[in-house]
Amino acid sequence: MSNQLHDGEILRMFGIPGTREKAFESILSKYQERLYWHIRRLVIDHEDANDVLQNSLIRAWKGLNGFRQDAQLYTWLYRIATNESLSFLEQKKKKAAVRMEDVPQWMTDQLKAEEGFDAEQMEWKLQLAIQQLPEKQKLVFNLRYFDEMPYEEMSRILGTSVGALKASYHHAVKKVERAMLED
Amino acid sequence: MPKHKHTDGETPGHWPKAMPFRVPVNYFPRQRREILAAIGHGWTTNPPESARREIDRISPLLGELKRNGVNGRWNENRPAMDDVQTERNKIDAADIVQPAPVKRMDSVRWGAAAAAVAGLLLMLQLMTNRPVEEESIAAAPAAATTMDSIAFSFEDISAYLAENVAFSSEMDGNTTTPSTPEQFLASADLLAAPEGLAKQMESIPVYELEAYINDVPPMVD
Repeated sequence: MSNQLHDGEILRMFGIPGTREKAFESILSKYQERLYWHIRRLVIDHEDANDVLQNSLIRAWKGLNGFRQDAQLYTWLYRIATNESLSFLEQKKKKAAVRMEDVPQWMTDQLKAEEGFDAEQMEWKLQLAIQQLPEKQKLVFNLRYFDEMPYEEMSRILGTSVGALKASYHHAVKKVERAMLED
Repeated sequence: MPKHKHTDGETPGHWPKAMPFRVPVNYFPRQRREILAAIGHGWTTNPPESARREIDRISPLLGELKRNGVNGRWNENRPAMDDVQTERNKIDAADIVQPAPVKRMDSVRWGAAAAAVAGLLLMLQLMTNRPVEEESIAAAPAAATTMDSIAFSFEDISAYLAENVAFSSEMDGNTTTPSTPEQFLASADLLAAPEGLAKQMESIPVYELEAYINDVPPMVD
């Protein structure tokens, strides 16, 4: 971690044609794993997560020159990854003809189909509970609980006020807790 | 650090002993901040609540889970970012970082291209009176995987390309430098290369040739 470049340095390098590829490699090594898991928690499936990650990185590559730096780089990357994940899920739901009210069950089924699924393990129990959340609450929960993202950053990613995000998180946590205790 | 031990006035949440007056603990946060700012304490904003403290406050159960390593990364023993994946990402990254995607040619066209290049190399060597290393060519193993194995270095190819482009331009009076391998081969009318050479040239990794002709760094396969 210590030899990773600062975002400012990465962006400076990206602006120079000769160091552009190196800059992007730095972004990959610094953020791709975090982005991968952010995406995976939303789309569940490993292969889907890979595809969405690739699309997100291509978008980042294409758009990085226009990145205005009024947000942090990782916030911007998360925003791209989030949008790509949600678009992907929308398409997948349409293809599978899933009705709105069936989405939580559909997501739960996908999770249960994961290799190594064990409903007795806390990690899986927690994931099952999270799948019952509405999409927005799920996003807020994931970003705050797992990634420990400050609300101000989340606000930039999701375009929602800090107050609303705190309320969403509170509701989400309570729902998840209830679901786990009922189980 | 024990409470009420601060004298530098930097650490939030405690009162330095040297404070000229004490502010009631239950004072409204905003007024407290204003007072602290006024006396130069420096703590002018509420420090954001950490995610860990927050989850402990809202749900001790989920706080406990977090402390016990539940991190939303299931199946980590089936590595999601394993070596294969990392390798794949490298390749994909290499794809991404090519601003103009390289046009792929199918194997038939590559065979023709390879034959053409081989023919031209022979021509070039004849033109420059350089003896053709027949033995090397004839003895090139079927499994040869590099340009070196048929006795032509990249410098040779480079020189050949430079000369050949000029040569073909002079021949047909076209001064435009071909910009794609197809244009290049078409303009030079090189497809009548000996069959034997074509076979040998098939052992050249196509991505190297492609990368060379397209002037992009070769991609890792």
